[in-house]
Amino acid sequence: MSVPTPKAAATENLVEVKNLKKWFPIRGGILSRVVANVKAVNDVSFNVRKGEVLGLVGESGSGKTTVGRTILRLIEPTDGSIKFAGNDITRIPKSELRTYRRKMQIIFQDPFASLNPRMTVGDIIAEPLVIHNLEGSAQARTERVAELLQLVGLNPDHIRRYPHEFSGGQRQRIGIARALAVRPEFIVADEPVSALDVSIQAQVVNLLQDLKEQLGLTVLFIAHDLAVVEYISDRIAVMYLGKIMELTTSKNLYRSPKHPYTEALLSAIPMPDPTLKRERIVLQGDIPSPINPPSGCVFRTRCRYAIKECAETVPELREVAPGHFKACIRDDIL
Amino acid sequence: MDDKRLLEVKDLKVHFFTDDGVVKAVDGVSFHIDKGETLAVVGESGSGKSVTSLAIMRLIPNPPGRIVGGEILFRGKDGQVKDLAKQDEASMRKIRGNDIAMIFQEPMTSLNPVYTVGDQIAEAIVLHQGKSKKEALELSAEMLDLVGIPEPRKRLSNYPHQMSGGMRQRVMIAMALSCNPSLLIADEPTTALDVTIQAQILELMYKLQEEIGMSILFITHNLGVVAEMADRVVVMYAGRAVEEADVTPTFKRPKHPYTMGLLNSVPRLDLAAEHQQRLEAIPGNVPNPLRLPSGCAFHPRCKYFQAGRCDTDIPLLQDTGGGHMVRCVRWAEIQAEQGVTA
Ligand SMILES: Nc1ncnc2c1ncn2[C@@H]1O[C@H](COP(=O)(O)OP(=O)(O)OP(=O)(O)O)[C@@H](O)[C@H]1O
Ligand SMILES: Nc1ncnc2c1ncn2[C@@H]1O[C@H](COP(=O)(O)OP(=O)(O)O)[C@@H](O)[C@H]1O
Ligand code: SF4
Ligand code: SF4
Ligand SMILES: [Mg+2]
Ligand SMILES: [Mg+2]
Repeated sequence: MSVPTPKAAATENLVEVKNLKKWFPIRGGILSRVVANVKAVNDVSFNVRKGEVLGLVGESGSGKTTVGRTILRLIEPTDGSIKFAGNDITRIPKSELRTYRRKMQIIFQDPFASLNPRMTVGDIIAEPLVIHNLEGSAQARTERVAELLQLVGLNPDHIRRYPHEFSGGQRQRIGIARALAVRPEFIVADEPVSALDVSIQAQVVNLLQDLKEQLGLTVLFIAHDLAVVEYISDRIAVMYLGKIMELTTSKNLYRSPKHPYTEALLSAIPMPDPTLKRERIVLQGDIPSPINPPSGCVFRTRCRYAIKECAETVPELREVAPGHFKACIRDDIL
Repeated sequence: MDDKRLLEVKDLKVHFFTDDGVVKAVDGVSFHIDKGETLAVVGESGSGKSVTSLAIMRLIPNPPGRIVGGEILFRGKDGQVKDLAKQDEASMRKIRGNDIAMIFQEPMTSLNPVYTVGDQIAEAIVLHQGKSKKEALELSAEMLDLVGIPEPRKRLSNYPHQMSGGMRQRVMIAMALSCNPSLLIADEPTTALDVTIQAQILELMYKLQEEIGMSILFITHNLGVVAEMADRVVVMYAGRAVEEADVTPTFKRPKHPYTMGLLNSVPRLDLAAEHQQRLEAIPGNVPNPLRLPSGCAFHPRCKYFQAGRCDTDIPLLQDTGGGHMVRCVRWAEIQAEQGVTA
């Protein structure tokens, strides 16, 4: 299967994901046999180029978090491979993983649950430095923490405060500072602004954008809100039921979506403009269960363009225009 | 009260008397809803949206909360106007479900997990309409059909956990509408749902309103949803309404700095794709309700702030013309500054 990187592009890939699968077994009966699998991620391939923000969007349960965590090997993949800076890290032992762990960090969605309430902000941010044995002395660590607080727009004097003394947006900044402490090259940001109010969400989106520029970070930005993803991403991958449906630049995705699911997703987002009159495509029914996804194209049960053949073959993610990939067998639509 | 008015909230105050101090969750909110109209209440977390709606239903937990002032005038199905703030529990019980129904953000917590959805809808119908159990179940199936649940008769015997989030929200709507309320209060009814399911629910609510002609008080923090659903909008900040206007002027000619800031901070798909400009964030944080800033509560975050004017007295909600209400001492100057003729 071809890996979605434009044919002509010579850009360096920092992360290469190939045919990645993550199935979660469901056990049942007295013998705890595997009775079924949740096919959370089911054959996904994409690359993240050095210095880019790749957005990963999809509705809840589509497999975004599982992709992010599997890349970082916080969960073990069922099949497929993950390369970081050209090295296959899919099956290297935990001891070897350590060096990569430092280069790859994660920012979590919930700024309330992800910080230990009994640790001071200073200790929270310094923790990864201690784990990775960086900045040696306590003095050097404190200096680094103060520098990080400044970097994310917090007052360095607040180093001894506890998480409950901060608002949601400020806690998310603390989470970002912690992720940046070890000077990572790659960040997985899993719904970093979803729990925040809009005015605060904008602050954090802007901060992430600035940090990316300043530090030359490579980011996998996971979110369910396509509008947020559009602002920050260079390219966007759209997921549905454990598979990538479409992958292209932000601009292309909005201007000329080529997959029926993307088309419907775009039209479902309410625009903050009461004078806009749009034709709305309302998808019927619910997202099917990932335990028993539809045969062929997983989107076919809700697709208004579905034909008989859609049930028969699993559409490959293929390049239909330069740098524009879609997993749909029909080229006579959109 | 004007004939076409269904609800008129006047200077409502709801305070919570907590160990840490008095939280003035709602502190002088006024608005009205006409028959058949959809009024959206927007604002960030903690601004007092839910407390306002709970006060209308008289469901404020007491202690620690209490309505400490104001009127909630409501026209019942019999045409009589009552002040809900002064009704006793027996009278409110008749109004809830019959005249006013409410749906919440998380349908799972408002449905009882141990009863089938059929039993739950039927119970509401028996209670409020005095129908027999058999008639009520029949009507329940009709309601499920109305809200677009396939095979409604079979679904009556489902438990809530056997349904998806979108279907549970449909059940909640079916239950709310089963008694033909004249006012539906919807508190973030689509916030917990995916966008494609949200689109289904919004379409359903829109269609049902056309058919039934009820009024809707729609609470949300999503400005896209507001633009789509509302006739009129109330913008809340720190327990007060700061702007109220028809939906188009709210979005096209906002007059309160907070409304302007809110609109600028919303990521817009169409704008983002064309020129990846930055979002304009509102600086600072939502204030602690126990320590609200003096004067205009928005002043520490406002780019039009002027010392001596904004931080002294609480600005009044003024009519700036044509029912466009604004609570800002500098609104006219700001309009002039922006080159808009007031
Ligand atoms: N039972 C209670 N006891 C004390 N304070 C309360 C209580 N319920 C609400 N409040 C406070 O009242 C204020 C308004 O809360 P409310 O729930 O109306 O906000 P909201 O606008 O609905 O926010 P959200 O968008 O988060 O739902 C907040 O400061 C809140 O903490
Ligand atoms: N540890 C787990 N055990 C079983 N199923 C899981 C586990 N983690 C995730 N899943 C399932 O995998 C699917 C994808 O989940 P997730 O990656 O969290 O989606 P998203 O982040 O897109 O909302 C969902 O059906 C979810 O319920
Ligand atoms: S393959 Fe068929 S069902 Fe799938 S998106 Fe394309 S047209 Fe629709
Ligand atoms: S009163 Fe002053 S601080 Fe408040 S919104 Fe108006 S200009 Fe801003
Ligand atoms: Mg997730
Ligand atoms: Mg609320």
